[in-house]
Amino acid sequence: MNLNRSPLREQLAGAYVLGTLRGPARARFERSLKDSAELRDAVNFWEQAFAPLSELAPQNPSRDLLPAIEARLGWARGEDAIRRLPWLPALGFAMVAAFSVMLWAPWSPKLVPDFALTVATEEGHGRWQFAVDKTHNWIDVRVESSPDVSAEQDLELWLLVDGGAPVSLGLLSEVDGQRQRIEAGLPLGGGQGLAVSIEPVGGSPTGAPTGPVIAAEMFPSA
Amino acid sequence: MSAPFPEQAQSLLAQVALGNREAFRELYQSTVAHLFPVALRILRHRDKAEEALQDAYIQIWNKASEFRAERGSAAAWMSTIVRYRALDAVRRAPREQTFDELPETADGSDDIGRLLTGTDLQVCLDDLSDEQRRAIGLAYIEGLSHTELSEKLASPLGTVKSWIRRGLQALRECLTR
Repeated sequence: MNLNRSPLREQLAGAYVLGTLRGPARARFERSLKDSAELRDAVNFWEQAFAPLSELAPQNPSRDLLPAIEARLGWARGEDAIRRLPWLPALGFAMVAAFSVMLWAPWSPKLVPDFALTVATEEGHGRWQFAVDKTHNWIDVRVESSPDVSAEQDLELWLLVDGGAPVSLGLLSEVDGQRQRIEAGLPLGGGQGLAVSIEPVGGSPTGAPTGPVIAAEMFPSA
Repeated sequence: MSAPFPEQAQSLLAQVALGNREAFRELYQSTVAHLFPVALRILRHRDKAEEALQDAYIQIWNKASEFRAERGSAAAWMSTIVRYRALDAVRRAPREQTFDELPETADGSDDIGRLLTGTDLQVCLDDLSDEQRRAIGLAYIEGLSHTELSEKLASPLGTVKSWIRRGLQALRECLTR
């Protein structure tokens, strides 16, 4: 299919934005989108053109939604909730610190995320939420949904390193909702990313990804 | 048209791109009532719409640095993310024919008239045939597939596809004139 032919490109981009482009054709189009600036422009044209149709009568969702979003982003709820309380300044830092320790000590050491990252497969069957702490070089994972893999396969997590070979960060739990802490053991930062591959049971026998890489996402550059 | 999308969304997005959580909370509080109905009209159930909305706001947090003001409005950028997440959810689990809350009109035509007063899109939609306009409006607002459109508009699949195709073509010509 030659997407550079302009009328066809406009049709596909319009159908994509409208949502009538579905199934494998939609997945194919999304892949082409990554490689073609012209296609992205065509999509942007329709997104902007149709945007006024999204201005529906305002309606509020449940109040629990923002806390649920923050939990999925792995934000340190205790810390933020304490900071928001109005009486806090009067108490002084020491008491807050003591209180925080009391609050958190019974659990594992608290990860202070520098950023959150969602990694998902193209069709959305596999989805993992990561919180990355550059101070401790820890990564917390929550398995939002694990894709189906056979009994002879495991899912392995990789750290993508700018200009270097991917580094194994171990196997991912295949249980939805499961949380894991990964100690990366090397500095985390810019130019890196995370990827998930399908490997034989126990992980890649070679130390490099051998199975298909089903999902990957770079760390945000800021 | 009711209360417009907040103008400060654009500057809040810039702060969110820098990892400012308070800015994210403010962005959420000021935009969620505008974005929830976008997901609700497509998914028809509050719980499903809220799930899609969660996915969308997480994507907004993660991808805020990709927003480019010169390429369009914050409202368009954010509502597009919500629509795509809602369309993803429809594809994963086909909808039941029930609604938590019924759309105000059966065919979406009132919405289209009310939403667009004075926009280029309105002028150009007015040039379309009634069928083309209704098919495109329903596809966009309620996320209906060709098959669902064919049932809802009681017209053959091929006819519906051609309404959409010709409608898009005419819109494109009109909007770039």
